[in-house]
Amino acid sequence: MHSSHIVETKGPRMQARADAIRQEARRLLESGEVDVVIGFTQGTLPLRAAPIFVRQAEDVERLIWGPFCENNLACYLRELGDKKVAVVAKGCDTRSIVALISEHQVDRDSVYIIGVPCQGMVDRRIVTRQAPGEVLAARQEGEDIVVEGDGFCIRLPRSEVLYRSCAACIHPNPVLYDVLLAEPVAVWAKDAYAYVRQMEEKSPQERAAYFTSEAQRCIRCYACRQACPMCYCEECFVDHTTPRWIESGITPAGQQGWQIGRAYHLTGRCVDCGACERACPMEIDLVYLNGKLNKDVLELYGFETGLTVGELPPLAVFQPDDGPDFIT
Amino acid sequence: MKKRITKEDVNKFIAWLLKEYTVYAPAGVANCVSFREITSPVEIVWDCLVTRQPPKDVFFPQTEVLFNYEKTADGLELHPTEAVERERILWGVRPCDARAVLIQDAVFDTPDARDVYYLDKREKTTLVGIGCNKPLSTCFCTSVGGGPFKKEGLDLFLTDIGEAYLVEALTDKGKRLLSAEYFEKAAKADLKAARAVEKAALARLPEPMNIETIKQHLDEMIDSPFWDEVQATCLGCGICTFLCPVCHCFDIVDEGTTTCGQRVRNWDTCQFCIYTLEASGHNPRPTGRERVRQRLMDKFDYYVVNQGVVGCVGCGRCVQLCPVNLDIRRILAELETAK
Repeated sequence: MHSSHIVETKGPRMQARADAIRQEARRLLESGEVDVVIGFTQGTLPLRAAPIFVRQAEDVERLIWGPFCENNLACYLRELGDKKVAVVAKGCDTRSIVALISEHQVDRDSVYIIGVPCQGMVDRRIVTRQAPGEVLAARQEGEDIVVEGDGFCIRLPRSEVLYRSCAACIHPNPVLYDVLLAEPVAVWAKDAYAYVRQMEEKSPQERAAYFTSEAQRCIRCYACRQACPMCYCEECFVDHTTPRWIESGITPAGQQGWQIGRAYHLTGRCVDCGACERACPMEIDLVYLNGKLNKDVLELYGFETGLTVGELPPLAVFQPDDGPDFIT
Repeated sequence: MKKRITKEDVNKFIAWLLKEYTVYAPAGVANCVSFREITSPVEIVWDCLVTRQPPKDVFFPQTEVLFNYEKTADGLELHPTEAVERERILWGVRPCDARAVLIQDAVFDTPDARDVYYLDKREKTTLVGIGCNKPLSTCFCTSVGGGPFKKEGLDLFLTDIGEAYLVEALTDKGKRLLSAEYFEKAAKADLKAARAVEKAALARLPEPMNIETIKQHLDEMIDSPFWDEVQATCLGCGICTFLCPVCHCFDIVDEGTTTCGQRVRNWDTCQFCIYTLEASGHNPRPTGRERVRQRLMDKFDYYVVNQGVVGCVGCGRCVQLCPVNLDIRRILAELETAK
C-alpha cells in the first residue's frame, strides 16, 4: 500500500487534479483497497466545497478539486473504526495525519493518502467583502477567482484572496502520501510567522486589548475545536465539571479561558492549517495564537510538527537530558 | 394604519427613541453584524439582511444570571436578578426572526410555567420589523410558513420603498411609535411601491418545499441509514443551533463556591455530545447519527406535532455558516430518495 508514486496529469491544473482524484478513487474502491474515499464535492453555495464520503465507485464523479476545498479532512480519520480509508490531502492535511499517527490516533496502514499539492485556499470572507452584492457564483479562471452576482462580475487574483494561513504556508506539498497526484508546487511564502511577528511587536497592552476584543465575540460553539484534527480529547477541558476548569458562559473569563486553553493544548501540535479560524462563525482571529506557540516551539526546540512520523511534540515527551531553562 | 417616513427622518426618529428606550439594532462589531444595543442611529447597518446572530439573545441571553447566592451567618441569602428598567426597541427585525420570537414565546410562556426572565424583557420590548426586498440565495422562509413581508409577531413594520419607508402599526405598541411627529400620511403611490417590492421579493425566493411530505418521510426514517451519511461530515459543533433563531435549549449551572456565587443559565445544544450524557455515563444519543437526526426531527417533525408550526423559519444562517456546508435544504431535499 505504501509504494508512493506520482501520477502525471495534463491540462488545466484544477481540472487535471479533479480528474486524477476521481481516477484514483475509482481504482481504490473498485479494487476494494479501501472502503471509503474522503474528499471534496461541489458545495451548495458559491465559494464553498463540501467534504464528502464516497463509498461506491459510481459516485466518484461527485469528487472535485478547486480553490474552495478549505477543510482539513484529517479531522475525520479517527472515527472510522476498522474501515480502510483513502483521504484527499493537501500539505496541511498530511501534516495533521503525520501528527495523528505519531500520537497513535491513526493507524498508518488503515489510511491511504491521496496527496494533492496545494496552491492555497480562497478565503470566502475576503471575497464576500470585496463583492458589491451577494455572491451568486464563483470560479477560478486562470490565476483569478471570478465572482458574480446580480449586476456584477469581478476578477480577483487568487494569490490576493487566500486565507491568511494559506498565504503564510511553507508546506503546501504533501509530506506523506501513498500517491501524489501532481508535481509539487513551488513554495510562495517567505515567512511563515510574519503575522506573529507583527503581533509580537505590539505592546503587551495592545495585544491584551486585541485578544480581549476578539475573544468577546466567542459564542463557545466549539467549531474551532471540532474542525481541528488535533483536538481529539475524549473529554475536552471545557466539558469537564468535576472540577470545572473555567467559567461556563460567555463571560470574559469563560471566553478568554477557552481560547487560551485551546491554544495552549495545541502547543507544538498545531499544523497552522487554519481550520479553526475558517470554522469560526464569529470570524475570531485565532491563527496567530497557535502561530505564536508554534514559533516558540520552533525557536526553543527546533521542532515543527507533522513532518516526520514518530516524532512527538516537545511538550509531550520527557528527555532525561532536558535542561532546566524552560522553568525560567 | 399606514404612514411614511423619509430615510432622512428615520435617523431622527431613532435618535428620539433613544431618549426613552434602550434600542437594539443590527450593528457591526469587527466583520459581524448582529443585534446590539446602539447609542446612535449611525451605528445601524441597514443593508444587512440576515444578521450573523439572530436577535434571540435580546430576550434570552446566551449567558444569564438567574440569581446570586451568599452564605451568611443567618443562612443562605438569595439575591434575584433585577427586572429590566427601561422599555426596549428591537429595531430592524426581519420577518423570519420575528416568527422565531413567536415560536420561542410558546416555550417560555406556557399555561404551566412562565419564564420570568424571558417574559420581563419580552413584554418590555417593541419589535420594529423590516421587509426583505432582496431575499438572499440562502433564504427559504416561504417553505416554512413565512414570507419576506410577513408581519406576525411585529409591532411596527417598515417597507423600504426607495427614498422612504412605508410604515404600518400592527399593535398598540406600534401605534404609540407611529404617533411620533416624524411620520406623514402615506400616498397611494407609496402603497403601490410597497406592493411592487413585495412581489419582486417573492419572485426571488425558491419554490416552497412540501413540509407535510417532509414530515411524513421523517416519520418513517428514525432507523434509516440516511442519518449515517448525513452525519459523516458533520463536525458536531454548535453553530447551526446557537445561530438558529428558534433553538432555545439551555443548561443551568452554579458558578462560584459553596459560600457565594451565581446561578447561571447558558445556551446548550443537542449537537454537543454531552448534551444528553447522563450521570450514569449512559448517553441516549451516543453518536453524531442520533444528534443530526434529532435536529432535523425536532424542527420538521416533533415541532409540527407538538406546536403546530415548523421549528425552522428559513433564515438560512445554518446554511451560510456551517463549516462543512452541511446544508439543511439539501438534507430535506434528499429525504424523498433516501427513505
